[in-house]
Amino acid sequence: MEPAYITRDNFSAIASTSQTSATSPIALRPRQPPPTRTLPFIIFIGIAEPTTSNMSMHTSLRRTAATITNSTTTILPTRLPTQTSGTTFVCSQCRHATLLRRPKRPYTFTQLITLSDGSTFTHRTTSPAPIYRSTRDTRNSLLWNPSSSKLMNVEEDEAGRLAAFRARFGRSFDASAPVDEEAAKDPVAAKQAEAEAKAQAKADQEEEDNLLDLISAFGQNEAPPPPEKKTPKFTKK
Amino acid sequence: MAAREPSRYLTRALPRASVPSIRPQGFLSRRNVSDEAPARRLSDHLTELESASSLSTAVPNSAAASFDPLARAAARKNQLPRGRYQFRSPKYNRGPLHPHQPPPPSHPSSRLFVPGPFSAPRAEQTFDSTVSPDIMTLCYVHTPPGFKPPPKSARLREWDDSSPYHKNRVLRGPRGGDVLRLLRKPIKFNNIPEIERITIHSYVKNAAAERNSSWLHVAGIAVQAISNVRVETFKSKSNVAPWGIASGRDSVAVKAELYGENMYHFLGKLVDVVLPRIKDWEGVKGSSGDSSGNITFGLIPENVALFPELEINYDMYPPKMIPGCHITLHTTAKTDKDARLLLSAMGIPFYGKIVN
Repeated sequence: MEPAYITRDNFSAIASTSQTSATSPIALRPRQPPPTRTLPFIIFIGIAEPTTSNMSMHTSLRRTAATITNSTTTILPTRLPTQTSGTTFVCSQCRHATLLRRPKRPYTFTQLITLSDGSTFTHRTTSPAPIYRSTRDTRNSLLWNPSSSKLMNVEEDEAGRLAAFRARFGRSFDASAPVDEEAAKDPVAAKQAEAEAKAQAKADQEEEDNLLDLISAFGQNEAPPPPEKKTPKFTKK
Repeated sequence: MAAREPSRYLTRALPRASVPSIRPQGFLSRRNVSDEAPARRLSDHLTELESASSLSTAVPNSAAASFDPLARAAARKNQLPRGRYQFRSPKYNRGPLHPHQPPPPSHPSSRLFVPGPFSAPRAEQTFDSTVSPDIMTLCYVHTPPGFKPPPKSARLREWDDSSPYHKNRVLRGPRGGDVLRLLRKPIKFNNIPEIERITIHSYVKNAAAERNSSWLHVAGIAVQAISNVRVETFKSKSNVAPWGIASGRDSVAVKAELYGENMYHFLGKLVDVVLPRIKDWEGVKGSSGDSSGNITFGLIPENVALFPELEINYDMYPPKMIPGCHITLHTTAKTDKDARLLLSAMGIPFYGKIVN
């Protein structure tokens, strides 16, 4: 046996009978037509101020709110042309169909980044400049190179002028450096030490020179070898 | 034909009035109009029922004979426009029962399809070639052969059956708090922690306070520029009177989610170019993190302005409207310790007391 087909013609009849009698099974009770079909146009206008929603960004909240047609539904056929602007969501016939929005992706360019040490790499970016030269990056910042003495903020005081100044005019915080204190206490000793250091350096230099001489004069001090006799090693027989 | 007579199901489904009564009508002398009326009306409608189902209708022979697509295509002088030869995805998803189904988003013809990846980001290459083997080596724990780890107690404690009411009770949470932490498995070659996604979030205070959406526009475009990703806006969920925000009324925040290629490009740019230029920046605070491997740090507006994308046309952005942002690095690590190991290997410095 076939089940009863509900066609468009008998639908209303069955519906009416099932509504009149309490004993009708639920299976044949017709689906209630959606309440929104009674309104010709249902226009949902975002709650937010229009300037915000003009922004062409994904607003997931607004999209979900558009399916709710309870409080802020207004019949506004004059606003229909604003459908394209994205301000309003026009639902002329509310069925359960979700729009498959094409994902929006900003245009990106390929950019070459030149780090401060000359190394380069490319990346995709929204910036249209083809090359970006960085002056400050991981290659020359102290945080990424903690052991680099070049990047550390060390004052160069080869001549000892800064130390001398500090010894003379230094206050508590900068006079506390131990090396400077020694120099300040005993300038004579400092001079002596300096002289000693100079002497030491000179001695080192001399020694180095001697070594260099030794190396360079290695083959020359010996007497030139006597000329060999021209005797062929392999004689023809 | 069997369908001519009212079917078994229909008879059962229709109200009692339509069913011929067992009781002889003549027994009851009293008759009402209301007794008669629905029955007569129903019988009228039953005669109107279509006898044949639409499924059994045969296609007329003439239609079948005229259907010859090959001949039609051959007879065509010019080619159709290109789009006619291509499958075009439906614009709407009308549910799983609709005959016209959109293709899956991974299919190129889908409206949701995003092509790519088109480049191999430097940070990703670094991770693959250097960082991941290093992490695997660092996290290696040697156990001699035959070693069996001591059995761990269950994370959810059972009730001691001291009371008959303990039967079928849900298990108790762990001691010292109800939070069940993520389970950290030993790191092997197949679960090396990696960066999953990056979230750039910016709460724009003035967007609600000044009733002026331009703050949100600038914030959205700035975040989009630095991240290569279209942003989402968010409304406030709660009412905070001193801040002047009401739930559902004000759009106050902007967020961009970065995955894959975009994520690695952003990370490389952040680490190599932007973070070193921040003045007196010590690093990411060591106590940051949600204790399940996601680490967040913030950038103030002056730092955001250091991004090369904002620098290149700095004039486009009103200087006071450049937003600050929170950057969350979501990793697949189960603990903050592993996440910090990964991120510091990727070049993000940490400072202060390290809280794991």
